[in-house]
Amino acid sequence: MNQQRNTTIVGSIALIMATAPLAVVYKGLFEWLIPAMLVTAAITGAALGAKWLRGGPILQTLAMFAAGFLSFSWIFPSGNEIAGFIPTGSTLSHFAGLAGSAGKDIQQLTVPVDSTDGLVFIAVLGVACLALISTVLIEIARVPALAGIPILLLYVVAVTVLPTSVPWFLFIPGAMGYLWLLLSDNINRVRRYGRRFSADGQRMDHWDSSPLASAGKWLTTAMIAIALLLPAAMPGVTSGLIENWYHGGMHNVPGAGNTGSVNPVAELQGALTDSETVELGYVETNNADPGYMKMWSATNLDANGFTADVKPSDEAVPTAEMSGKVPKVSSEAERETWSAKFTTRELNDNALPLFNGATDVDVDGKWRYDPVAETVTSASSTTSDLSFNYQYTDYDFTPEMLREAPQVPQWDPVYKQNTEHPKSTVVSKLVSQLTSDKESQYDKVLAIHNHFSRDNGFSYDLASGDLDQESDNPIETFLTHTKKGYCQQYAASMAWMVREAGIPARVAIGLTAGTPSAEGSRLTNRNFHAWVEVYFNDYGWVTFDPTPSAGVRNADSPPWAPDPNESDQGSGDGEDSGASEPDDSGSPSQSHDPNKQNPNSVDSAGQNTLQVNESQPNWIYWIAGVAAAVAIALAPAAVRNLRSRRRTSMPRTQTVAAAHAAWIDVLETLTDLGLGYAEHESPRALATRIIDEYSLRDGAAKGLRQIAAAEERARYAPGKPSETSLKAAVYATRQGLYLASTKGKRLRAYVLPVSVLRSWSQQISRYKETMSSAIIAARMAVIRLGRKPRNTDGAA
Amino acid sequence: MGEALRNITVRGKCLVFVGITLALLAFLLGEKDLLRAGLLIGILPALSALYLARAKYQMTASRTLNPGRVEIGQQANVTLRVRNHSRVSSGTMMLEDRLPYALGTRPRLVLERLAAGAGSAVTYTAHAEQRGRYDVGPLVLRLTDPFGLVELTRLSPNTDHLTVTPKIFRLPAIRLPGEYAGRGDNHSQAVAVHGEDDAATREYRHGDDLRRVHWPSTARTGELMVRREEQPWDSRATVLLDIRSSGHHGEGPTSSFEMAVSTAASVNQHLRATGYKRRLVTETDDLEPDVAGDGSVLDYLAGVRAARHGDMARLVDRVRQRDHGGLIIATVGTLSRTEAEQLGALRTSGATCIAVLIDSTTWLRLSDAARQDADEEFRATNLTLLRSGWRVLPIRHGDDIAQQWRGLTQGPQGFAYRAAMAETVAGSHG
Repeated sequence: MNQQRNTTIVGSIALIMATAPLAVVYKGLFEWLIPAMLVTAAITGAALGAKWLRGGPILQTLAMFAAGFLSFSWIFPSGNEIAGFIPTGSTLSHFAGLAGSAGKDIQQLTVPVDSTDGLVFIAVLGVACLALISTVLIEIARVPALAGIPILLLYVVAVTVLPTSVPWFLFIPGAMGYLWLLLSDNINRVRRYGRRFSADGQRMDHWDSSPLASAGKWLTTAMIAIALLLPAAMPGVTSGLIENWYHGGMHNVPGAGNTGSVNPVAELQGALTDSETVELGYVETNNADPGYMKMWSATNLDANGFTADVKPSDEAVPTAEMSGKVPKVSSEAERETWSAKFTTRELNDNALPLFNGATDVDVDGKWRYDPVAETVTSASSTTSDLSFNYQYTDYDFTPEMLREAPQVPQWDPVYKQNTEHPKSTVVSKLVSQLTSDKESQYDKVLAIHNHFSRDNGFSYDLASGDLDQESDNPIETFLTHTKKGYCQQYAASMAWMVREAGIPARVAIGLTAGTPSAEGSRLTNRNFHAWVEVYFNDYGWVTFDPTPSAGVRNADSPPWAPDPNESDQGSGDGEDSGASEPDDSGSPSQSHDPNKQNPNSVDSAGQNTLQVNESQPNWIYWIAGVAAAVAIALAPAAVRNLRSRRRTSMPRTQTVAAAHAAWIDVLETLTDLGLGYAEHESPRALATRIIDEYSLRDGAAKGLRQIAAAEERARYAPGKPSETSLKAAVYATRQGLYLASTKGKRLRAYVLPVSVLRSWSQQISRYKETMSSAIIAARMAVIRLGRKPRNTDGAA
Repeated sequence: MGEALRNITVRGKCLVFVGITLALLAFLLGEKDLLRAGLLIGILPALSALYLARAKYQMTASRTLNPGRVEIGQQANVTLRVRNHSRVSSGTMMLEDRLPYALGTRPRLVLERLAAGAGSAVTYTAHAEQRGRYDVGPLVLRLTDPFGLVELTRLSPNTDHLTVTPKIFRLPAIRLPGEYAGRGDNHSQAVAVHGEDDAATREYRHGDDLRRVHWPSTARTGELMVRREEQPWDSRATVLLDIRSSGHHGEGPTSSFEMAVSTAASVNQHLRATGYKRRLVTETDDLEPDVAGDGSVLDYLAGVRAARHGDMARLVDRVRQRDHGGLIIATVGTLSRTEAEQLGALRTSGATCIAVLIDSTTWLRLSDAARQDADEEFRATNLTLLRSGWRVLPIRHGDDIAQQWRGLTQGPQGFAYRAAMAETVAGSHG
């Protein structure tokens, strides 16, 4: 019974260990971990308590449920509980509210999510359910091996929620926990099997440790190492077989990605957490200032933000026929035609990143040009392993030119499609305040654009950027309260405001120009970006970028819309930002990142993170890790050396101690080299035997004899001072012994001196003994305390 | 390794299966993270098998029983010696000695570690709860890995025997009436009681004391006859055991048959102690053990089973096949009148015959009427035997055989005897 109890406790600890991957799903740690631990402890304790009271399986299960429920109402109180933990009706409605808010949070927040009450509630609820299952499996069904299922579930949840891979070290706690559970269950099984006895026929008590445990520890270590190293050595498991198949199928149903199984928020969050930098591709162009490369347009706006147009419009044509379809721009604008070549590395998307005004795209695959969105997308082809050339026209709009552009007539389909917006008094008030004194469309847009300046309190901030999503209208909150966000919030807010002003606007999603390199501009996931396009009659869609350029990698401010912060910011060029948030697709839900429609991008290009701190910190960690590993590996050798030095450098006056120390050092050298000696051998006999057996030569033999003689004197005739220092003798002896041994033994003696390891393990076991006797003493004290009142009762 | 892999436990197989499934899923979905879990679970049994296979186990086991023969209800100490002949120390071994369930639960031992070349001994006790001859062993060695994923089973084939003898009651050392112990003086005293002509005589030989001449015989035969004063034969006894299952009732260790076997064993033991040359006869066997040893008889009694189609006539025949002079002590169950007569006919003149008559119906629960009938029947059997000149020792359920045995000292002139004789006289006249 006692042993079964151990297994149950180990099972719940293993479950808690297996929650490790949630650490990257949630921003905080203790917010969810401590409640999860409490609830698990309550459930396990209830199961064991019910058993202790001789309750059957049903009673045990009921007790678990009750304990789980009570602990929930204690941890997530509505305030109306009786005595703080006995649930009432309002507790239940509070739980329902928490679950509801969690649902909303799941839709809005990106990974890693904030530890909001709702999400913590959901996490703890999940862990509680798994703890219940696990305890039932161990305690009632008696199949502890199956408790691996809840543990695996936790891991799978993390794997599916995180768009990036789960950090390898978070795999270890769960794996260790499960193997520990298996081990402890099996040891209990073996113990229950029969009477235990040791090799000398002595009976063993059930608390004596089993040699299986130590073997189990080694196997656990080996197995986890294999499980970590083998996949690492296996290339190309990044894109699954199913994906390759799925890829073609899915996009035949346009827009499926919007509502499909892939959660854009989750993917965005994944991009946020990713510490890796993924090289998406290279672009070569003869234009020195080419602007941004657009991949997707987003025209649909609702309260939550923009949604990308995954489905091309009816006017879309294959790229081969696109030349006639490209929208015309008034000849007033100066133009220059450039050519560009894009070569992908890890980019895996269904849209081509193209500079504005692209024509003559020469690309393999079924790509279609949509003149409305001005994008080239495909339902079946992806950019993976793609290289394509195209021409593009760079227009040089001047403010004057734009200022004179006529209003977009309301009958124009462009107007109809790009001015719809939700009603918001806050936004319309703000817009009318900004644009009331502006005449032209351009001035209005510029006024709105310039509103996003540092002077107005706007700043680039990734972390607080998602906070505003908790509100019902994140854009409103962003505009009026937080004023902290990243590209997609800026782009969405500006586009909304421009629409509010009656001017067609949309959000463009794509890449910034990249960092120049020998192969062309290097594009990484840090280059993902979102900006605003405003429609001007005669000139078409004109780019505005409201995001503070400090936060944008390779930001580019067009001459007609300079960054309002530019004057004091310098060029907001990428690598800088200690602020470290390049914007990109990984942003809030205002506009779905088109990448999200493509599951491929989840794995490869999907690591479009918002964090800039990439290689440098990694590099430091690596160095630190390697240094730590080396330090750990060398520690025994260093300790051995240190001890030896201390022994040989004893003051001459302490002859006896010095002789003992030298002798001990010789004995340890023998141990390190694996040369056996018996405790009872006298110094002289041992020295003679060693010298004979390993045919030590002059120096070593002399040294060993000298040490033996000194030890003899120290043992049997202390007080007589020795004339010489034993230091040289010790070194000579050691050298002689090392030379007499094989290379392997020598190396082992250097690197992993057995004497040190043994002394450490002795210390550890001594510590363990002290601890366990202290625990036993404490337990006895508790028992005695518990008994006392009963005795007095009896006396009375 | 191959053997270890073949012996993966259910748990191990499940893990392999789940591991492969996870790995396949990982490949299908392209989740390297999942692959880790799949590999961890899938390869673990193989690693465990490797751990077990690393040592080629060469274990020998031997067993000593002390004592090899125990009375029912006593304990035997069994010492197991296990030796590891391989060069590596063994992992944890689970030992199970295959005992018959009649000897109690199978002893299960866990030997935590046996160093290379080392041996270990452990003792357990077997509780003999039921009479019989049992095989102890073989010893089953189970080797397990730390996670319980692989389990190797080794059988150490040698078995030993444990004999559980029936319960032996110490019978009080009384002199049986008419018992001829082989010492002349006693005998002559005994005959003196009954009449003077009973003396054994022989022809006068030169040197015989004239005072020992037996004049009546001399007168009868016309030759000088002398009284014989020394018995030329040893005291002899034949112990009969009735093994007809029809004569016994009850099941298992509490049955009347066990009582009969136990009684026979006790009588045998008693006679051995008194120095009799014994002969044990059942309807299937006829044993004549050494005077000193009782091993063969006890061994036989340990294993004797009731015969389904037993026949009293067969038992009587078997007794007659060889010399059955001297004391006869029969342990019998319920007899029919015919059977009682058959048994009674065994008595030759002058021989002392004792029937330990076990009223096996008392081992049953009977209605009052049936009980009366059974009692009537028993009395009839009793009478039949008494008429044939047997002494009858009735044993009922719950009787103490030792106490009943003491009743034999009362001699044949009991009330029952006289009653029987009276009835005979009456019958003959009628």
